[in-house]
Amino acid sequence: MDTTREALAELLLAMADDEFVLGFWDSEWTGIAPMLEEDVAMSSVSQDEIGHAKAWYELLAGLTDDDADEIAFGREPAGYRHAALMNHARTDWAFTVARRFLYEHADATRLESLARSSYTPIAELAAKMRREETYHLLHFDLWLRRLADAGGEARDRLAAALERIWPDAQAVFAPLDGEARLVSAGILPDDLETLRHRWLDRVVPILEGLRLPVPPEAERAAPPAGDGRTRRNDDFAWLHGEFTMVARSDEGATW
Amino acid sequence: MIHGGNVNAPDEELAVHYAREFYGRRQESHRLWVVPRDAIVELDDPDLLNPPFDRSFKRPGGYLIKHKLEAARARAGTDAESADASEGTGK
Amino acid sequence: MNETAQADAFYAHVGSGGKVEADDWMPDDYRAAVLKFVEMHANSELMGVLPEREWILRAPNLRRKLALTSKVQDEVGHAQLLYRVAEDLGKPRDQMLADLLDGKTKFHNVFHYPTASWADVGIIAWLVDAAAIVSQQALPDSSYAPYARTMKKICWEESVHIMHGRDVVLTMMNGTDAQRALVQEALDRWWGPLMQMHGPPTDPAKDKDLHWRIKAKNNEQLRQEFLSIYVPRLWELGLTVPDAALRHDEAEGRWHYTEPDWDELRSVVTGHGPKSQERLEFRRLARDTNQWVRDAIIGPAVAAA
Repeated sequence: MDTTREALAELLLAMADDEFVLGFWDSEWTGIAPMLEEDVAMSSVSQDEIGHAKAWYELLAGLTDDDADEIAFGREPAGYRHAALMNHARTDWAFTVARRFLYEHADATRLESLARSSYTPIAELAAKMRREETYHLLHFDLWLRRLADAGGEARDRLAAALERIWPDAQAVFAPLDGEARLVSAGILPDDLETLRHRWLDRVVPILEGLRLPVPPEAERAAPPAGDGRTRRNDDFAWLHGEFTMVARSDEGATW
Repeated sequence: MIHGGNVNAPDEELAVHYAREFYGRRQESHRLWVVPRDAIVELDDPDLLNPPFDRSFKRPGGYLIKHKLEAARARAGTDAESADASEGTGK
Repeated sequence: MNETAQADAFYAHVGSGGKVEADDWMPDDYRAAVLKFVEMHANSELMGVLPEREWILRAPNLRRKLALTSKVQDEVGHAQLLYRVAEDLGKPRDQMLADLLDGKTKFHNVFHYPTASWADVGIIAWLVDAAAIVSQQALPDSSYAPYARTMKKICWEESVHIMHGRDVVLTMMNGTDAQRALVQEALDRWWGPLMQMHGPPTDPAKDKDLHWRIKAKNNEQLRQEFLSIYVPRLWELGLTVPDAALRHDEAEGRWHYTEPDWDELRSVVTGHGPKSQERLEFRRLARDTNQWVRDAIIGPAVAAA
């Protein structure tokens, strides 16, 4: 990483891609969620994520003299920088709730720090996003609790989903190229390892309180794998094919 | 249904009587729902009701088509003599 | 008052513009007629989600992604609102979904057809929603008040969908030759179902829904209204409407058109449309796959293991 600007671009891309990919996966629930009322709620959450992704892409586009849609839709799968947590398909409702619970708290931790960023555009956007995240946190804390309290199949599915995604959830705080520069410039007020521990301090007690699985202490202490934001899988390749299908069908066309 | 107002009454029976007086004596109400205040659950969090990001795509104002329409008409050659539907078939 | 006199008084009330609320006494005929009408509407919103849902993942830019997700979300919301109205008339939601999936109740013809391209997304959002709104604008005056109130909200939301659809179409018409060709091709495929959508002309004297003011206009009036507004808007873009007989007769003040294929309509709404069974199966799968969630939420909380 040669410059702070490049490091900043990496950070923005990572966050935008997290929101973009998750927003896409969860938008699949539109029309087929477990209850009509929940369908509408979940769709709002997905739209919020796309809106946040759009905001980060636009900020990035301003810095790199590019176009938000071009950045969002114009890369090959290997060019995306979302956390491995977002590689997974929508799967089932328990998986969605588990992923959302972990991610919303991670995002909240990240945004709380960025709201104090020395780079004003980020600080302002982060503050705005935190306000929208209020609803997300309420919503998924509620679902986590309801599924856990229901016991039986609901609890089993939830527990299995959590066990499956813990390693990839850590990837939200995977090291970023140029992180040191961002921290010393105050653009990222807290380094990612600090944020990761802060996130664990939030979610572990909630999960333990519901007797849901958490990784053992030793595993939690270990920092996430270096490829946390670069490893990809077939599920994401499929999604990429879907979301680029129309965008790429007519070179240079406006939609 | 809109919120009409409040009455102060010791019980449901009197509340209904007073509601009729205040909100119905001029025949201005077709129907009234009378609810004790403590049965009401209020939602007023601005983060939930007024979140800050642009949601214009959910409102008519988010779709300003004037210029696009003009451009499309110009391209189709239908702007000068705007295709009056009653004068026969367009192309 | 005996039941016949009570029914007579009721019909006089609704016939002259009177309103009915959920817990008012109603003759069984009226209750059944409203329920049937509302249930079909609810079913159509629910099934109408499916053709467009496919394109949510494929929306070609950020703003379209937001707009389409929001539109489909609204349709789900409309289904919820309408099923609520029907529930209050006495039929449980589970039963309505079961009847829909068993083919005992119907949903509108247009939702039995495939979508082939992004142009379909624009055409559906613009013209299908427009045809729907032409019917729906007659409904806020429905004698059944809970339905009338719901329709006010639904009509407002649909008006945004139509603008979104028209915007998508306009953008493509102003775009490349390939985009324009996609739009024309989509219109060619959707015109038939659109013309069938309002249904065959009925004998107003025999139309109970009209008499009881559940709806306010007959099928032919709705179709004429749709044509009057939307055909000029299609022509002005240089699009061809695939009906050589389509023309407006000034003297008669009405549109002439090729008689829609009512056999096709009948066949489609009874579940023989190109996508009818596939979509019902998809819904069935969605319902069954998520049953465990409803059991968990609606059932009593069980002590954690």
